[in-house]
This record gives sequence, structure tokens and C-alpha cells, in this order.
Amino acid sequence: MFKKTLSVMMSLLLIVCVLAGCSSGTANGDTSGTAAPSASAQPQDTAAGEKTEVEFFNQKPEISKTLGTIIADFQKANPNITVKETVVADSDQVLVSRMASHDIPDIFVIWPNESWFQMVDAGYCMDLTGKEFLGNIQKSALDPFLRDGKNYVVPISYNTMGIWYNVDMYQKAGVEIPKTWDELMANCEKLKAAGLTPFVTSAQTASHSREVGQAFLASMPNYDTFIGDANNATMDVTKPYGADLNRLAEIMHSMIENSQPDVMGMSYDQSFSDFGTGKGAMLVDGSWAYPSITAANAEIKLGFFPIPGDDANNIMATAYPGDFSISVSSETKKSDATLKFVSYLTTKEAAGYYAQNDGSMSCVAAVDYVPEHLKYQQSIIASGKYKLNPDVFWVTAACDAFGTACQNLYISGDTKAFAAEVQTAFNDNNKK
Amino acid sequence: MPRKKTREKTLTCFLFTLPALVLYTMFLVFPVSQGFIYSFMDWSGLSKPHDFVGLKNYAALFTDRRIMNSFLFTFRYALILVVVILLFATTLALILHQVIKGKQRTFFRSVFFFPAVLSAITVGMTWNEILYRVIPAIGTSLGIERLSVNILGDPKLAIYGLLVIHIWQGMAIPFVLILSGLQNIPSELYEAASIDGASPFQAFYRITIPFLLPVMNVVFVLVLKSGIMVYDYISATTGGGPANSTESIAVLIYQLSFRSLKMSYALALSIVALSVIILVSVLQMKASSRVEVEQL
Repeated sequence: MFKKTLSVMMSLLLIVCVLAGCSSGTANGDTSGTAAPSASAQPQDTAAGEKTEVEFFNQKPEISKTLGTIIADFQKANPNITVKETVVADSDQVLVSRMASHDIPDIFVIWPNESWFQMVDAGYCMDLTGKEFLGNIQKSALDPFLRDGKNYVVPISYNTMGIWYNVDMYQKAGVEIPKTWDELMANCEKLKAAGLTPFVTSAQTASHSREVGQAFLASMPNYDTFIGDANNATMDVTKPYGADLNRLAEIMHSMIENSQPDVMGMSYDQSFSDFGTGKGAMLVDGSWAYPSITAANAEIKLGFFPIPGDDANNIMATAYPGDFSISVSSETKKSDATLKFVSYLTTKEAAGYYAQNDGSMSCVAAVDYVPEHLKYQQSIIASGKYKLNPDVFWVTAACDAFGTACQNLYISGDTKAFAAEVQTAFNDNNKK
Repeated sequence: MPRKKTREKTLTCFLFTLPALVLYTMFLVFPVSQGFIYSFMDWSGLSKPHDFVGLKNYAALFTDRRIMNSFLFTFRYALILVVVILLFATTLALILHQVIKGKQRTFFRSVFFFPAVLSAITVGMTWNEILYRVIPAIGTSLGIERLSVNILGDPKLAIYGLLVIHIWQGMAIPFVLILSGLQNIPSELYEAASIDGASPFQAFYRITIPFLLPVMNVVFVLVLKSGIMVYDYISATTGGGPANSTESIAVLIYQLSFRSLKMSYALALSIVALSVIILVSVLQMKASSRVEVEQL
């Protein structure tokens, strides 16, 4: 009798679990790679009085909390619209799969680059040219991402690359922000004399090595010619930028020499925790690292400066207006509600709140907030002395090959071979 | 009437297997067939599927140096993995079966099975910390230069670091399977063997191995597949580096399909990998079928 009751209860439990699993659909935390497409069941844009649900596909889980508040404020002002945030693991794969099966999220976070241009060319992104809310965005943020003169993305915040430094450690060693790489090397000597490791560097993966390596490129005197040739797969190291690349290899090699012992073995996450907990004075990375560094140590006093080259009068920062950007599905059936939310994200309230909580610089013209640690970097960008992130027009194979070239430089220390390897990386892969 | 009863019985059995068959068809047969068809096109994975290009993707595979390197790496990796896991798991199972009895056996069985319940990414990330912080500390104090750094950062040694991680977790299920296989061997046979004057080695070779072979077949295929399709541990640690030295077939398939957006090319590679796994498994089962004992 007991056995029978038990087996009936277990069967009921099993059925309940199966039903619960089937009905949760694409709710937050879904880790399966292929959610069942629900394109056919989307309700039409309805007249006032009916609730419309807009899906926001968020690929930056670290901003989820901030986004939640922004969404709540929007929903208060627009009671007929619900914004549902979707966060999944392997979001890049899920997005590509969903696009291919025509189940494109109404709004999705995207980083405008060569892969995104392919999405635009395939017709998945809505043409936003001429929309009123684009007037809220700085023109210098919109221009780099035009495709055939049209707008397909709304950039909300910038990121910038450079060198994070621990203010307390800099004060302890008695060093200041360097204006040339030689000054930085002198700083390293003083740091070592004070018993501190100058750099924390992670080179375990090709992709992070590429991120770090490309931060150095803007300091090259002949950068503009270099990036033009690299993007077109027509590099020629007999041109002046060849010598620049040789010098860059020496600079990057000296950074490795002044880093912690095991550069190739340290993962990206480990670099945050080590830098945050004071195991090194400097970290070459992007401004997006702020939440991760402060998660390791909320008390740390941080500063940020651009990577110096050999010319103190020509310091160049690297800036990318695509840190937090969104595109709209070209196949959305709720374009009114969707565009309303997109427009809200470009307002001073929403964008200002985002900037303050993310510690980033805004592309929205009305927002003048700059986080304390980025004030110096921002002053350089504001004076026009910055270049767009180098990898915007690189295909992923070229990105990976460039990252591998950096890794090979770190492993072998062969500064003469770097330029030729970079040329192969771009000429073999960047053909479009 | 017997014929009606048999048909009824067959129908009932079929209906019971129907849900599993439907799921299997939907989630395995159908996607694999679809992938097979797409591998003959030039689809990027993003745009509408494109033109039929015949065997162009397959031909390109065999001249692509990066793919050849990934095959070499993956086969080397899978071979070492299979040999080490089969050896270690069998040894461990034998020890637990013959030496340790009772409550202690249950305890150790749980301990050695524990790695199987963890997610591969968690295991990879945890081992990355161990290999970066713990092992080098030990290596430095013992004065071993090669072990004073994270071996995952050395292009020549990274494969062994990954194997350590994979073996640590990959041994759990084979161990449990082999242990239960050992427990199914009738003990009277060992008694009879010892009466007939057989040495322990002869008993192992003539009794244990033939009875264990069906289980070993299953274990071999499982471990081979996990070796050839290794992805999680690499993605959680080296990402295929340093300098492409740990780029397995599965990592390359991911890179080609979702990053480089060359889906058809990646699918062709997947089909080739699938064919290799099937071929090796069939050969292995045929080779062992003469020696194994029928369990049914």
C-alpha cells in the first residue's frame, strides 16, 4: 500500500517537473543553447489598453542589475509596455542561432564590429536612420558604425583602453602618470625598488592577448596608414609602420619583463583578482574592467591613463563607442513599443543612471558624468586625441591570429619577428 | 491464441519505446541529417542557406593546415586519455573490488564518483586556479623549473595540463561502470580457477577480462567520444591557445561556426569527426567481440 502511494506521488512529481520545465520557455537563466523558436506566437502591436511585451536580449550580464532599475522606471512611465530581459549563457551563439531561425529578439545588445556588419548585411537589423532619438547621441559615436551611410545601431556608452593603476602603490613608490614609455620604464624601476610588481598581465588566451596587444597600437606614429592596410589585408612592413611595429614589440616585451612571473599561465579572471588585491601596480585593460576589479576589492583607489608612446606631445587614447550598444530586430512585430524603449535608453535620466552605475562614459550628449578614475583619460579623449578601437573592422580570424602573434612574442621574446607575423595575420585573414 | 498475444506484446513494447524514439529522432537524427545536408552548401550560419557546393568544404578540410593540426592534437589527446583512463579506472575498480570491503567501499565509491556531478566548466576553472597558484608553488619549493609556472601556459605542456583536468573528472563514470562490471562476475569461477592452480594473472586474463569486455566497450566509446569532442575544459582555460597549441576539433568547430561564421565548413568538419568516432568504435567492438563473454 505504501509502495503504491509512493509510486503515485513520484509519478505526479515527475509530471509536474516536466510541465514546469516546458512552460518556463526562455526565462532568465536558461542555459540550453537552442531555445524553441516562438516567432509564430508573437502578438501584434495592439491598441492602447493591451499590454505589449518587448524582449531585451542582454549579452552583458554584469549590467543586469542596473538595467533592471532602468526597465522598472520605464515600465512605470509606460504601463502598457513590459520589457523582458533575457540573459543566457553562450549568448553570442544563441543570438546567431535565433537570427538564422528568424526568432530575432526585439532589442539585442551587440558590439558593432565586422561580425555585426554581417548581421546588418543579412538584413536582421532595423534601419534606424532618421529616427528622432538618434539626435540624442554624439555624432562621433554614430559615424564609425554607419553601413552604406545608414544607422543600424544605437551606441549608449564608450569604453576606452589603457593602463589601470593602483593610486596607493603609485604614491608609495613616488611615481607619477608617465608621458612616454621610457618614463613608464623608469616608474617600473622605482616600483620594483619599493618591493612592488609593476604589471599584472594575463596572456593565457589569444583573445585576451589580442585585447591587450591592440591597446598599444594607437601609440604608433604611423597608425592611420597601418590600420588602413590591416583592414584591407594589404599590409607591407617595408612601409614606415613596419619600424613602428618593431618598436611596439620592444615595448610589449618590456611590459612582459616587468610583469608577474607566469604571464602565459594567468587567466583573465585571475588578472582582475591579482590586480584588485594589490599584487601588481598596473593592469593593461579596458575601462569595462571596472566592475570586475572592484568586485575583487571594493576599497581599491584606481586611476587610468592611455598607453604612452615615445612622443610626449602625441599621446593617443583608444575609445570605442560600442561598449553598450543596441540594435533592433528588422522583423519585430512590436516596433512602436520597441522603439519607445530604445528612445528611453537615450534620455539623460536613463543614460546618466547607466553611466554612474557602470562607471563608463556616455555616448548620450546630454550626459556629462565622468567617473572619477576616468577623468584624466576623458580629458585626453575630449581633446580629440583618440583612435577608434583597432579591431572594429577585423574579421574574427584576423583577431585571433593577431592575438596569437602577441602570444608568440611573449613566449619567444623575438621582437624582430612580430611585424612579419602581424602582417601574415591580417593579409591572410582580413580578406573580405 | 499465441500469435495474437505476441503481436500485442510487441505493440506494447513498441509503444513504450516510442517517446524515447521520438525524442531521439527530434534531437539527434533530425539535426544531424540537417547538418549533413548543410555541409554541402556555403552557408555562413547567419544568412539564408545558400548554394549547393558539393564536396568543396570536405576537399578544403584536408588542405587546411589549422584543421590538420587540430586533428593531430585531438587524436593524440584522445589516445592518451583513453589509455590512461582505462588503466586508472580499472586499477582503482580492482582495488576497490578486491581489497576494500563493506562501508569503506561505499565511502570510496562516492568519493571517486564525486567529480562526475560537477559541471565541466567549474572543474576547468577550479583546476586553472590550482595549476596557476598551487602547483607552481609546490614546483618552486621543490626546485622543478617546468612546474614553477602554469603548465597550461606552455605550448608543449598545455596538453598534459588539460589531460590532468579531464582525467580527474573523466575517470568517475568509467570507474563506476567497471566496478559494477567486476561485481557481476560469478565468484565461483575464481574459486574454480584457484583450485585448478591458476595464477592471479591467469585468472585476471582468462576470467576477468572476458567478462569485463562488454563494459570496457561501453567505457571505451564514452571516453573516446569525450576525448575527440573535448571542448569545455579548453574553453574554460586556454581557449585553444597558447598560440593555437590546444585547439581541438570541437574548439575549432565552435570558432568556425559562431565566430568566423563559416557554418557549412564547420559542419563538414563535424561530420568527419563523427565518422572517425563511428569507425574506431565499430573496429574496437569487432576486435573484442571474439573474446568477450555474452552477457544476455
